[in-house]
Amino acid sequence: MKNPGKIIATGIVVVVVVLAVWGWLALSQQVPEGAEGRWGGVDVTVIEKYAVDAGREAREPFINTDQGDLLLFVFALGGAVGGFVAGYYWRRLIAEKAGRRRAAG
Amino acid sequence: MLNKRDHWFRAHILLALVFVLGLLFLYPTPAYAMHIAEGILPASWCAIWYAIAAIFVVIGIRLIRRRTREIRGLMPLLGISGALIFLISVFPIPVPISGSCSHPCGTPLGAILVGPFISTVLGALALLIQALFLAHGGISTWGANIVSMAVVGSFVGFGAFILFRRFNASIFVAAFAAGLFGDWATYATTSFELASALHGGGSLWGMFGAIALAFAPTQLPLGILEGLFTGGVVTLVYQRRPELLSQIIPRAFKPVSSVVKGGGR
Repeated sequence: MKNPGKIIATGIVVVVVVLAVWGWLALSQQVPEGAEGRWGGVDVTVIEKYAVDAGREAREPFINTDQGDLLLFVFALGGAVGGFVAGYYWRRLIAEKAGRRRAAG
Repeated sequence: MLNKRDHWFRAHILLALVFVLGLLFLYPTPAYAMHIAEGILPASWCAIWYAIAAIFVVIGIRLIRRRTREIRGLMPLLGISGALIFLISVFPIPVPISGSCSHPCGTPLGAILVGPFISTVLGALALLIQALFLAHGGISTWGANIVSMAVVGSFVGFGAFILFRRFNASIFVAAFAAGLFGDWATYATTSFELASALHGGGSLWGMFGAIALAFAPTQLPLGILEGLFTGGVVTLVYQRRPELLSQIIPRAFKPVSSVVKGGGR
């Protein structure tokens, strides 16, 4: 056995993943269905369900963008800006420097 | 000739991947998440979680100031990490069989790239933008959401990465473990935050178990997905710019005997 630590670490990860897949399949029938029906988010099906059971309800956010298509707009805008920032810095930090190093080597 | 073709092929695969990921990120969908919404936690509990979160955020801000002076090239890494944490933590993923949606955290990846305290600050900023403009989470529950996603996600992910590297696990396996355990720990903490505030006269641990069990069918597979994503990104960064990771977290690389192909120069 050349590297027992590596084998043990990889083995632990494999066992955990197998158990997680088994747990997912075994528990998938118990997913509580919220008001949104199938594909509802866990914030509604789990968090709000337990909060309502305990007598607390979610308030409207301070800036309520959940009106009409406004939420879709801010999500698209957030995704576009976030994607641009991540891509810009990825290119600056990873792609350009690695390319420069390849050219120099 | 072979090298040139290989390079062309790699560049186009990367371009296709960026295009597909871009489409996925830009697809306008409301997010369904684990962030605790406005008004769900009582004021006293909001204050407690704010106080705990403040400790980590203040240390993180001081570290950002110091490290940006010391390490050139940290700003772009902060930019990538912050943008990825923001995008990943509002990205709703439908889980087949379970029929529900949730999202990964991104903070375990951020913690490996920039360290856990700085990742906490980036996570807190992402949560603030989401609470203010995306009707996602809340201002009163910001502290609780920082503790679960930014603090616990970062520190558990970072700790798992260090631990698995000490066992000489490959970069991919260690980063996979970071994503997996960081994600699950975040949801376990959210369960604890809810149970501690809402259990009333009932059992705290009974309610914690019930909430964690309700999260499990959605979050068990999403943890695996977050592990795969974290492992993939960290391996790619390590292959292309290994010095970036060793600058930020030199401790993780002391006992390494196994290196990712092409990265161990």
